[in-house]
Amino acid sequence: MDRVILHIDVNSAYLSWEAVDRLQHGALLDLRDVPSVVGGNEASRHGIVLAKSIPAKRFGIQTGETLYSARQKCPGLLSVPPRYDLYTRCSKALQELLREYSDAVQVFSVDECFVDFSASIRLMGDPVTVADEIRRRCRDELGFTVNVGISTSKLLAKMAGDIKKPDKTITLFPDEITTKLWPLPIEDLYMCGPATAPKLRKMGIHTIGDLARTDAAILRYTLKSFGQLLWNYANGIEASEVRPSSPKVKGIGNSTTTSRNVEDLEHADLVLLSLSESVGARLRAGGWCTRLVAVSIRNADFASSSRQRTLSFATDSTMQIYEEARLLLRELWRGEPLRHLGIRTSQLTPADGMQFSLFDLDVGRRQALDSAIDGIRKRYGCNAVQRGVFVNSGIRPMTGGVGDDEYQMMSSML
Amino acid sequence: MEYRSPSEKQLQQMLNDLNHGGGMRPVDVIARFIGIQAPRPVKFRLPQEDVTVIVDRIISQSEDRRAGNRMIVYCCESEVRGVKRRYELKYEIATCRWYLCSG
Repeated sequence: MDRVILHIDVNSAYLSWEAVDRLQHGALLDLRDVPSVVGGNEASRHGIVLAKSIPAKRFGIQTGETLYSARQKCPGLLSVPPRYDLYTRCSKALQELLREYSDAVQVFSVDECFVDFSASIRLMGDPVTVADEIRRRCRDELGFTVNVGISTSKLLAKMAGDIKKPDKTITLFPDEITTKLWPLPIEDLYMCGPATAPKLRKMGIHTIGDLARTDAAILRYTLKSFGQLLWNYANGIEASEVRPSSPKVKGIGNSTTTSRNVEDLEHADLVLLSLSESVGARLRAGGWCTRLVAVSIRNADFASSSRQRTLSFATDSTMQIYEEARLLLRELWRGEPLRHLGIRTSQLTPADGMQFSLFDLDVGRRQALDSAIDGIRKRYGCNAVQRGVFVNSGIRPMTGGVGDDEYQMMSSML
Repeated sequence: MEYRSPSEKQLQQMLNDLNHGGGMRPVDVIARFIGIQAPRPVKFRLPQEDVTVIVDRIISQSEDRRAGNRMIVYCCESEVRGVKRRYELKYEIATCRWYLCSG
């Protein structure tokens, strides 16, 4: 029996969500009606476009380009900063809505979900009708539009949703592949990116149909197992399950790309301290303690490395995480200019069951301090209290946002 | 007289003002909580003007769930200076804040 899979994708997520939030709070302008973008902070470093409105698209503005170049294309462009707490909230609202239709909901990313509808057909009826209902409810109840792709596999459902936007229900069942999928350019095939596409075009493969009709052995010869994957995808062959996300948090981390190269230990330590503040605060807020601290670095040439250590005790203290991170960095770093640092903690245990180190006499005072600082920040904001070393340092006292740890994802694997 | 078009910053500020609090403003409210029902506003005050209005009648109550942010919307009516006026009061559950809208 064939499965029925739905892929739900929010149209211009960051921008739509920002637009709806503003409307709900009394704004008279809908950001989606004017050329607008969600862009990173321009003042601190080179901001880039994270999301764009449809009017902005007409000016040729693309996701990923700098705000500077976007403004050149459209001088009156409105830019708003990203708000990740808003996006998490909207994403959860979407997930909740989808769970009314099936319990097999896989949160693929903050703005995309897969739903295995197979078991629900008998109860709820025709998937296209249900998809239209989902779209209507997202629009009317949640305030933003989504695309829904329907097929028998996650791959085809996802590709279906990409065919025409916004606010559409599109099917791409196996018998529709030749008419709907094959005419598309190969760049539109999932997993075929800016590195692979030119290679395929050189081989005379310009459309997904060309790729599908090419002998798989030739593709394997040029692109190895990836070639076989592409061929499978072009022929709609993909069978992964819809995996409902486990709600369990596996780790908490924060990382940052610095605005200028990090070239000495003092600078690096400051960045690590700043990251430790964020990580520590989030651990305590979640009621976790960690036993594993990992530091990752990336140099100006994009080479990454990391080092981790399991502690003999569990901790939620900013300073303990920081001390461990400092040691790890000194073991890891060879002194070349760095551009990206990260701290990751895992092996989490609930804070109330914590095993302290037998040698640690200061734990009570440290916890009191951390707790007092958390209290002040909760009431008066994160900038209300900061460590003295950050004054005039050019580095923010707390770096890193919500982080992607909630989604075992940002993976391109279905 | 020379005309100077608004600077980028001024334009942003104008648009910001339009976007934020254009149609809605925070107000102080006294409300009645009975049992497990949603709170019912009794009277509200505009903090800046120090004006108080008694809610004569709640015509309807609904929920606004946009962007996953639950707000209870009360369509209300009050007689102010001899004229019956309709407006909306919104209660934002996540922040426990009340807003007045023209409705």
